[in-house]
Order: sequence, then C-alpha cells, then structure tokens
Amino acid sequence: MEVLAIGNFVDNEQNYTDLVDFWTYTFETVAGFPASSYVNNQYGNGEDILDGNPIFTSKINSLRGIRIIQSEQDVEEPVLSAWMNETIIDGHGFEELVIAIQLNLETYTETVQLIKLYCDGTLTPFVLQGYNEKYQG
Amino acid sequence: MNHRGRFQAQGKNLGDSNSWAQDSPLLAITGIQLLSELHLRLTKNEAKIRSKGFVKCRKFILSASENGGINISSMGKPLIKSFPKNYTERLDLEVHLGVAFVK
Repeated sequence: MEVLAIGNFVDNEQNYTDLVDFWTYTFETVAGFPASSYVNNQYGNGEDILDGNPIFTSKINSLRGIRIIQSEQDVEEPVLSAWMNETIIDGHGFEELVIAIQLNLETYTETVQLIKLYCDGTLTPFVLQGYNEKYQG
Repeated sequence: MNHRGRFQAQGKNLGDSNSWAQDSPLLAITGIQLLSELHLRLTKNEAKIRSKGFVKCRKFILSASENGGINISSMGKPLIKSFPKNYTERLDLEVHLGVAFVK
C-alpha cells in the first residue's frame, strides 16, 4: 500500500487525490456498496479544501455515516481517536462515527475494523472505548 | 434565517457553543469573534486543552475568507470540521446553510 508512505498531503493535489481514492476504495470494499459523501468540503470559489478534515465521508444509510479525518504526522494530533457525533443531514438527525487518525499500517487496520463494526451495527461504546484507550497517550 | 452554523466545544464535562442564524452572510471577522468568545468562556484548563484546535479553526476561517468563504447552497449537505485533542475533548465547526466567512 504505497499510500501509507505518503507523508505530506495537505494542499498537495496529487497526494490528496491518491488518499481520497484509497479511502473510497477501502470503504467500498468493507461496506460492500458505493460511497456517498454527506458533507461539503469546498470553498466558495469552488476549490476543494485539501486539509484532510475530513478526507472522506460516506453515508451508510439515511440515518448514519462515517467521517474520517486524517492529519499529517504530528505529535500533538491524535494517532487514533474515534467518537460518535450527532448532527443534522438532509433536515433530520444523523449519527456519525468520526475517526481521526495519522495513517500507518496499524491505524489503517484499526480503522477498517471500526468501519466494518459500524456498518454491521455491532460497534458498542465499550468496544469503541477499547480502541481509544489503546491510543490514549 | 438563510445563513446558519455554529462553533461547539465538546468534552467529557463540557458542551458549549456559539451559533449564528441570520439573514446576511457571516463575515470572517464575525466568525473569528464568535470563536474567540467561545474560547474565552471556557475554563482555563478546557481552553488550554483545545488551544491548538482554536488556532486551526481560526486559520481555516482566514483561509476560507481568501477563497470566497463557504457556501452551503441547500440545506442537507453541511460543512463539518472537528479539531480533536482526543476522543472526548474537541472543537467542532458546522456551517449548515448559506454563506460564511466572507471578507
């Protein structure tokens, strides 16, 4: 997985596109259906916001979705943190699993597991806590 | 109100926000003011935990203002950004409708 070697991607169009494609492929492989973004991540002038926040979103159904925030290597940023958030999408309540990561093979593997558990409806607060405690400094 | 959104500081023992809902687009300078007010309302410790998040959010508003702001033309697909310290403590920004962070 060459994308794991990508160090800098913020405002780097080619690296950013590679990562977006990578997350889209990962989600669609795990979920088994096409990704469908539910957030706007563009400036008013039509330019994409290339900051990794989020790098990927997709609905799972009309009431739930997944948002992935990726940051470049930074000791002050979470290596992996995940939480549930409630927001409004399409005019109604919407639950999302938000995963903030610095990408490496280990965090990628954990993220795939979290996506799978959430898609299957088997991600419990206790299980989520376990993932977070593993990475809590 | 055609322009609405909010800044929200969330945490284990915290849930405070500053929102806007108005008929005119939100200026970047007003957005920074709302963000700063929220920052100042937090306790010293809660503010310190989120200090980098507030810096990044402020930087984002300035970057948006240089690029035509944020324009959410129809309700339903908002801009959502989170600036987490960890899985419990974070700062969120949501623009749900209309134009925000213009010069």
